Amino acid sequence: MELNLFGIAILLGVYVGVVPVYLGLFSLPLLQRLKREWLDFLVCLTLGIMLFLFVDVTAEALEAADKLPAAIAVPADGQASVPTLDKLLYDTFGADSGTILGPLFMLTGFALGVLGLVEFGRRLDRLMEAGTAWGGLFNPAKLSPQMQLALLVSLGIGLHNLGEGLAVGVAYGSQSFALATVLIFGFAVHNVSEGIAIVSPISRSQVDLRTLALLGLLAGGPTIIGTLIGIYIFSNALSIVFFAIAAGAILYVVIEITTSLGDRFRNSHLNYLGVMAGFTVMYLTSLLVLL
Amino acid sequence: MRPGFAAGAIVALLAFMVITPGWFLPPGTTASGSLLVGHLGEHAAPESDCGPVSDDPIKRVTLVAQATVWEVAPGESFPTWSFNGIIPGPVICLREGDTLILTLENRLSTIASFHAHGLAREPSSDGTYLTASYAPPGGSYTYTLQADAHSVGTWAYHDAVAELDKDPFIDGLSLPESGEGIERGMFGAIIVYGEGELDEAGLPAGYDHEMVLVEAEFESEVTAGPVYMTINGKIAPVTPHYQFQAGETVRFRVLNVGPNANHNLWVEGLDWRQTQSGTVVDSVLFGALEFGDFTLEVGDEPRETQYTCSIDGHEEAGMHGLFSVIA
Repeated sequence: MELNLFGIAILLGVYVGVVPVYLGLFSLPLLQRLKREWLDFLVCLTLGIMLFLFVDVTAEALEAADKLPAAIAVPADGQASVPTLDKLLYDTFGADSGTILGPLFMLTGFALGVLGLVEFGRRLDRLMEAGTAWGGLFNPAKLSPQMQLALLVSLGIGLHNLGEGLAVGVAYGSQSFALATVLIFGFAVHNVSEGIAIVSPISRSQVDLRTLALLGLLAGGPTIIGTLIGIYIFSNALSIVFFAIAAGAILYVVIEITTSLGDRFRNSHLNYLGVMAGFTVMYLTSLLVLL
Repeated sequence: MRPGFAAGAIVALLAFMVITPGWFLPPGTTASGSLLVGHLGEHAAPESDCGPVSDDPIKRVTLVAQATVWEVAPGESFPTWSFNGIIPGPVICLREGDTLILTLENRLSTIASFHAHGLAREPSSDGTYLTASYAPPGGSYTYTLQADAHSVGTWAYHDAVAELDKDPFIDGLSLPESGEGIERGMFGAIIVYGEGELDEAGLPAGYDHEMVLVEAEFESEVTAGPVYMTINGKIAPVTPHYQFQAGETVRFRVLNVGPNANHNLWVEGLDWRQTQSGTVVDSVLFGALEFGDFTLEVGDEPRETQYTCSIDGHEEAGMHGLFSVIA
């Protein structure tokens, strides 16, 4: 099938982010047969997965911030060109601004991620109290705390997948097909576990197909935005902000999951093993992506 | 959700995962097929990598510094850097008197440059760290160089700054350490033809084939595995298989792009005549970043032999291949 670049960008996002997440989501019937204590184990598995993503995306954000000075410094004779957005920073703030702007973008993005999700969580709470449908997407009567957690996990993962899409898009856009191939298949395998992470909190609930579809789209859809941006408007400054927002959002989700488990966490071998297992699975599958 | 439905959905999604890569992966992402180069069939005109060289005195070239997973042999690959996704990068072909306007697009997360040997240029087109003539990550840089009378021959170009933005200076020294680009595969050949070396059609006159042969070593810190001694980016058994017809004259453009090792290229029973000086040697011994061109007569007898680097351990590390003379 012949696709233009735009079509390919979308297909890449679907392939890397959306389909693998749904593959994980459809493990739900299997999870629903599990015994009670194993459900806590699964939530802890999710926690381990999110912890890994937090470490991973934070490192990406810090590295991108580190590189910004070199990225926007244009040699004096003006022969060089840099991506439009980075050039704008150079024109507005000067060649040396990277050392300040990098950390500034990092911290701003991080704050946006954390506070953005706090605000989102508060709105969900209020909607549940008021009993009104939110944008017609969710029936608030069904928004159990477990469902709320699943929703937040989806959002956090979605923001993280934006970064993965970005990496794939930049590699593909620069014709590094061999690298792009490694990234595409590595991330795809990696992302199946993210689908499992999303449905773990709701494996005891009745979940209709529409809700499941929406959760998958929240987590996987941003990958498509990432591949589009990566292919068409790569910018060093923008990638710091994206990675930092994802880091902040995931930190919030990690804290929410931990508090939702409360006392049940205490000295439970099984639960800590769950955290370890989640982290290990993510780490090992991330090794598929050689870099 | 019924388990049957979920199982059906999983099968459909897996089918999607299997079918669609054919839509977004370009065909032939990994090189394969015949390794034969040289005389592959009847040809009326001399054959070279450059093809006909245009007589436009301005030559424009774009190189893209990019991350690449390079396959040195089937099943043996490592993530590294390259120009345009190939190692060595594209051959740059010029005539004496030409101006080369080269745009370097940098898709690496480190700075990158184009540093040429043998061509005249201002400091701002030198591609070195101290002259700040490099492209930032995601950006580009344009170089202007001239091929003058002294440029005729065979030269290398390579990156000279990659990774210098990380730890620019060696402890206690005020000069930056040379970049990582060249040891990771960011290099290629430049050919400058002198007056009278090309015919009316822009093809080399006076010999039948022209081959570019680039020697390079990839150290363990680059490959995260064994040391590879490569010819044109490959190790045996996938190095080029040179084939010529009995009686042909061939010009070999040989480059040792290092970064460190010496190489001594040898073919049994073959004399190498250095084109400009006329000196005849029975093997081509080059230190790192030495280059030259040699004209040789392949002989009248059909035979099947090997070319190899005679320095200890290099043949074992992949630096050899087949050399055939056919009837």
